[in-house]
Amino acid sequence: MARLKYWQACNEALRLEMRRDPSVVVLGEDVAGGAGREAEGIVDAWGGPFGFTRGLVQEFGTDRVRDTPISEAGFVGLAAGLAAGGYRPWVDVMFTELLPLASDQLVNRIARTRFLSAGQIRMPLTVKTFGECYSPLCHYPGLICVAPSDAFSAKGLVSAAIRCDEPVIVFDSLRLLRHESEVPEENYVLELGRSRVLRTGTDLTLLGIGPSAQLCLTAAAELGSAGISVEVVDLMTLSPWDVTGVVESVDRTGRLVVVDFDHPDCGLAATICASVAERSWGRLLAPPTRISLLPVPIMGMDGNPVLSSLCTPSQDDVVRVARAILDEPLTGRSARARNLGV
Amino acid sequence: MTLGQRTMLALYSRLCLCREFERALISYGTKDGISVGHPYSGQEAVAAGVCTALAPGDQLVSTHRSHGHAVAMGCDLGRLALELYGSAEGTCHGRAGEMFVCQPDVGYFGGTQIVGGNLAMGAGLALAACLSGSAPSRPQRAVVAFVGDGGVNQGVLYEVLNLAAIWALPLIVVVEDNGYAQTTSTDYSTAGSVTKRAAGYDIAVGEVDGQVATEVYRSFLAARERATSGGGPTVLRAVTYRYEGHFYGDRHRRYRSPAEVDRWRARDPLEIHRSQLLEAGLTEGVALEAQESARQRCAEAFERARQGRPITFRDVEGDALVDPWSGELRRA
Repeated sequence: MARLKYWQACNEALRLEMRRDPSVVVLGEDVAGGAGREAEGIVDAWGGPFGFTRGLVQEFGTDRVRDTPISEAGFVGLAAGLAAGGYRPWVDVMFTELLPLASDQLVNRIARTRFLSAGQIRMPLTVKTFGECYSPLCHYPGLICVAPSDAFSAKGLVSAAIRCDEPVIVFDSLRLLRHESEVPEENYVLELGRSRVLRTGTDLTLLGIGPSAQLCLTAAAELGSAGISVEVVDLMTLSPWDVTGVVESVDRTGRLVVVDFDHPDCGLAATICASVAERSWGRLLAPPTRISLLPVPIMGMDGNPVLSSLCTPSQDDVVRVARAILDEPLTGRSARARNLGV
Repeated sequence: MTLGQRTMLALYSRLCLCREFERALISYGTKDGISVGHPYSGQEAVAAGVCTALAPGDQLVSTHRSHGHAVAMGCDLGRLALELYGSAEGTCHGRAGEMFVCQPDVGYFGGTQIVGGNLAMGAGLALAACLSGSAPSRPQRAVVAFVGDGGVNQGVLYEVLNLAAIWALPLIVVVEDNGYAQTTSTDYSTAGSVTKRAAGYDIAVGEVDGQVATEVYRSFLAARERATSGGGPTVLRAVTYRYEGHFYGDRHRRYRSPAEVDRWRARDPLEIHRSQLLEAGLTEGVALEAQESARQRCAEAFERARQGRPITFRDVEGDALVDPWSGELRRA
């Protein structure tokens, strides 16, 4: 075991997967860094965006670690062709705000190809991006969406994504970039489609999605010291998500609060609450509840950080909503607990 | 360069096969309530010229107007017809239909419902060709990406041309300019021309008479040679015409004059090639035989398709990534 930061764990997973399988290739803006200046001894300018691809170009060369121009639709679609041609591309689309530029390729081509071609063409590719706007892509059957919550899950999910024969979108979070945890030195995979229990409890399930799992843990500790026993579940795979695992936890506790850093409407958290209501209705002690990013059209990257934090669920919000649900379970505060100022 | 009799006949066989396949599709499909989709008649010289110049292992991505390309690429006609009939016995088990059907074992990677939607995948297949050969600068195969005159105004084309140029990809973009994007004419919608635009990327370009299969063949062969010798991409614009509407049943005379349609019909690609065939010393009998053989093969394909087993939900439920009932990821 080694203590690694989130970005280091991702970097290590990539390196080990590239060593393991020569068909893994890395594409994206600035992933090699300084492309075209090799003759001047310039390589690996930034280590890729936020260090994720540091050192890879020196080890694997520019054929396998390839800087692209700023052409998201072009290079995500190109990755589909690489996948169809027998490669396993790992594609860096820096921020979720850039994903709409490549949406046609992702939803019309990549998500559908294996199924519509009856398996004649496979799409074993990974797209990684920073941000919590994950709900839109969770809508499309054919894509697997994952969001790690710490260095350990990052390394295991990145390896699983790369080895998966289906297209996987990895939502990383800048909030977790320097988060540290214990990580095995060898490569390993976490099973896609499975959640994990980070803390067991009996009164309430807090469900975290990517970075909000960390928020759930700190809120659970605070509630715990007030005598409330909180179970924390980390969703890990966002689509298709682990219905069985989440329902099992809620059946144990009777209460669910989903902590979500994406906007609420038509979102993943809404889907989870609906499914839990459908499946656990008679056993629920309170309505399934969401705490989401407020529906305010703020910038996801490089926006005003104060505005951003005003709109994002905080530890106080989680604690307040959890207490409200335990105190007055039937007041119907579920829909927009935070928005209503519970 | 005069073409040998073998090549001349191969071109003619492909022309006939494309024409007869669509004839059979229209005659059987309209009887059986099957959609004809996007007709290709009138444009056959482009598919026939390109596909006859391909080498084994080359790959092709198509557009929404794709069944002509599929036929010319050598897709199994019986299974293709079954696919168009929505049968579980079709090439893609009845899931893909006209616009998405593919058969990669003959190099045919299928069409797309999005205009310009397959160009980037074509570039990726071309990059895979570079990476999988012994030397990236001598790719073993070329990739064709078809696009129409409508697709030349999609932004992704220019991202792809740039990528193909900077990496010298063995990609040949064949622009089938049939004069109309649905009801909108090329001269209304397009400033300059796609070849002038591509020339701005220092990409080799060509303009070719898309009614003459031998011309398409020659230009494409040169582009293929360039692609596989490390010379990078080519944009080839073939000027052609679709006899029918954008889709079968489209009342295309509302946006095209009868005189214009007649003018193009007078330059029928099969007729043009047939006279060249005779000039090359082949007989009327050989030409008739090719046509008859194509007609028979296509009729057999559609007779078979009518007997195909229709798709049921049972055929697909086990193969979706997500279990449609539990909503969970299917375990391997």
